[in-house]
Amino acid sequence: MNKARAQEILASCGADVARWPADEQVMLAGLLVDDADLQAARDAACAVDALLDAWLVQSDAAAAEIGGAQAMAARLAQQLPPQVAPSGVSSRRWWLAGMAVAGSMAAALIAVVSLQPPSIGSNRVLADATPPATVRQVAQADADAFVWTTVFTTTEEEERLI
Amino acid sequence: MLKVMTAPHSETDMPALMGQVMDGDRRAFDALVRQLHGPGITVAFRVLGDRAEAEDAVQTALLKLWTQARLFDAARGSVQGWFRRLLVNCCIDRKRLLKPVAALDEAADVADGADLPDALAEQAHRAQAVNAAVAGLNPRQRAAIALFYGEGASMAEIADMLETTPKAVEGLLARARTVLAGQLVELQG
Repeated sequence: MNKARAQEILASCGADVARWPADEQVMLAGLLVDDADLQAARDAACAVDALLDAWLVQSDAAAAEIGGAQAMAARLAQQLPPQVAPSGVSSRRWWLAGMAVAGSMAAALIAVVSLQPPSIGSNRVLADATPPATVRQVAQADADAFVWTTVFTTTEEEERLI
Repeated sequence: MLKVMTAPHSETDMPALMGQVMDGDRRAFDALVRQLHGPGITVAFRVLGDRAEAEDAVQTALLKLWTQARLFDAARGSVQGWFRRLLVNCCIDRKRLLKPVAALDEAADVADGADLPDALAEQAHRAQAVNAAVAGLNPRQRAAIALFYGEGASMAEIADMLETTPKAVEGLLARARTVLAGQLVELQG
């Protein structure tokens, strides 16, 4: 607690100790004893407190005259709209589902890019390293199967969401 | 036990009533309306400063309580607290659409004390001036003042209702009090 904080409290909460934050009451009261500036701030706050007290008394008296709970209950009973059902899927779930779909698409893209044939400039190296036709067919089938499972097989999290 | 039997819809029953309202029980809602109406009118009148507007705001908030009942979460607070939050936000929305009831410099014209004894005339004049001073606050400042001074709500509770931080509520209150202090000087001058 310093002087600036004490002034903040007086400016927002007023001069009544009971309205000050509970954990700062004792320290603020202590600072007030010897500080003329704070005492002046408290006196100014007292005047505003008095204005607010007068306003509260007036507004409460006026509000007490309104009454009409029974009439309002009857009025509301005639116009009650249907209740809003809580949403089955929360926004958090939608977010998770969106992330799962985006993740799957990214994985599929990576898989497709990684299975692209090498560029023309590397044909010679490719020819040297080219396996026999049957091996190529098996490898292609494996690659197709990988793409298929990557793109069309749901993850465990997607299964849960579905 | 006796209390429950003699007052089946006492304030302690509010969570139970709310549970029934969540199931669409109109009679429970009726009982809840009777309990929340009075305190609601007091808060709404403090924020709005107008009888008809206060009644409309309470009615709107009660309708929201009914339609959104299934969104109520007892773990996050009391029924009264939730209703007060709905109400304060209804009041702020309405207050933004309203103009101040009377400006401070018009207060003397509003308070016509010609037929009253001096003391009463002075009192009436002061009452109007005080109302005009508070009416000069913006909706959020007025709501903060009404909740802090009128309801005894903490900074944290007000922050929750106004969807802001306790520090921001301190700022709202301080600015409101500065405006009121300025009005007070005019009033006394």
